[in-house]
Amino acid sequence: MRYSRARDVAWVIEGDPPTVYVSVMPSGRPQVLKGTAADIWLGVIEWGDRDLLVDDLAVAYAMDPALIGPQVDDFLGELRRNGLLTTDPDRS
Amino acid sequence: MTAGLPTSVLVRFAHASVQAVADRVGADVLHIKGVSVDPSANPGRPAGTDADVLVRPAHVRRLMRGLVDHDWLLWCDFDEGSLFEHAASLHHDSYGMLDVHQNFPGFHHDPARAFETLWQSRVARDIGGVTCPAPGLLGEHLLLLLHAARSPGKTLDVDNHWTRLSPAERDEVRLLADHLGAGVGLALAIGEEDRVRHSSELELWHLMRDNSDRLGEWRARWRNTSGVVPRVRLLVRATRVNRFDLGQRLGRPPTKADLRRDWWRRARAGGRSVLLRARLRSREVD
Repeated sequence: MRYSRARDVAWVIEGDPPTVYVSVMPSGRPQVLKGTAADIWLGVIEWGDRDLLVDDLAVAYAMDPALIGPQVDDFLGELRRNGLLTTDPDRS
Repeated sequence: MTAGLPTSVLVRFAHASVQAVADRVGADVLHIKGVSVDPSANPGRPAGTDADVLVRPAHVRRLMRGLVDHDWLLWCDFDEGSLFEHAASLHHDSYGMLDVHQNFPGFHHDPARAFETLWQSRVARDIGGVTCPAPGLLGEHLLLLLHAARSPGKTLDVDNHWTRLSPAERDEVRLLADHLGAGVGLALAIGEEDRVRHSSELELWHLMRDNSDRLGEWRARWRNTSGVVPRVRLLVRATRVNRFDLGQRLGRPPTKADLRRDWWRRARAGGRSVLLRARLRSREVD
């Protein structure tokens, strides 16, 4: 499955460790993503592909991909429901 | 509410929001000043605390309607602000402040032509992941110099957009200013006021820059306005309350009762200024 930022979503990254601010334009309520949530957002922007994202996070957090995969899927689903991400079924 | 989000984030979201609205309603906007300027040409310049856009004059109404439809609240309409009536201020609960310029002081002789000239040389800037059109480098030079002409203390902008330029680049800025009728503003910004000392618009620039003599401002506007209808319009505006200023003073959006109270305050203050000026004049005559 591939994910990408939804159309009309603006995002800003600030600080170190990064905090990501995202909002559906032109009038959505901004959401603040910190820690793992910020890493997942940045992973989607960089990789797009769900499996590559999970592998990358597993390396970064020294965790088993099979263990964190379901949690990552839950969060990606939440971002999608909030209109922040879209999926590309043709390339799943 | 905007509380808690860094200003640098709010400003970027404000730019992204107005661009999304512009795309929806088919309005051409150029993102100016603040985070939309070319960072390499603006060393040391702070990002600012609000977003600014210049809208194609023919698209002003549709953009303003679109912004209001998307939760932007009008704080200060075009005719409530500066002498040049160039900008309206809006506020969004999630994104903070936005200034929409229908004109830019210095480009006021023919705003449509000025916009089209800047639009033809536009560049794309990424602001918050959204593609925003911005003036090209030459237009940016001139815009920030004209801004400096009416804003005391903008020496950094003059350094970045004039002092550091090569003679050839300066000639290009001068040519653009002449082409757009912005020669007086440019001359003021770069310390060549003597060159334009006979210009009728010089008084307006001084009043705008000094921002202290409100009655003097209105008198200058009166002198620069011809015709019965425009002058009646000007008189009506002279007593209209600036909702943005009032909101800033109150720390909240003003209510109708606040507006009524401030209208009377302005009318009394205006009356006092007229009386004071009349007394001073009679003493000078004596």
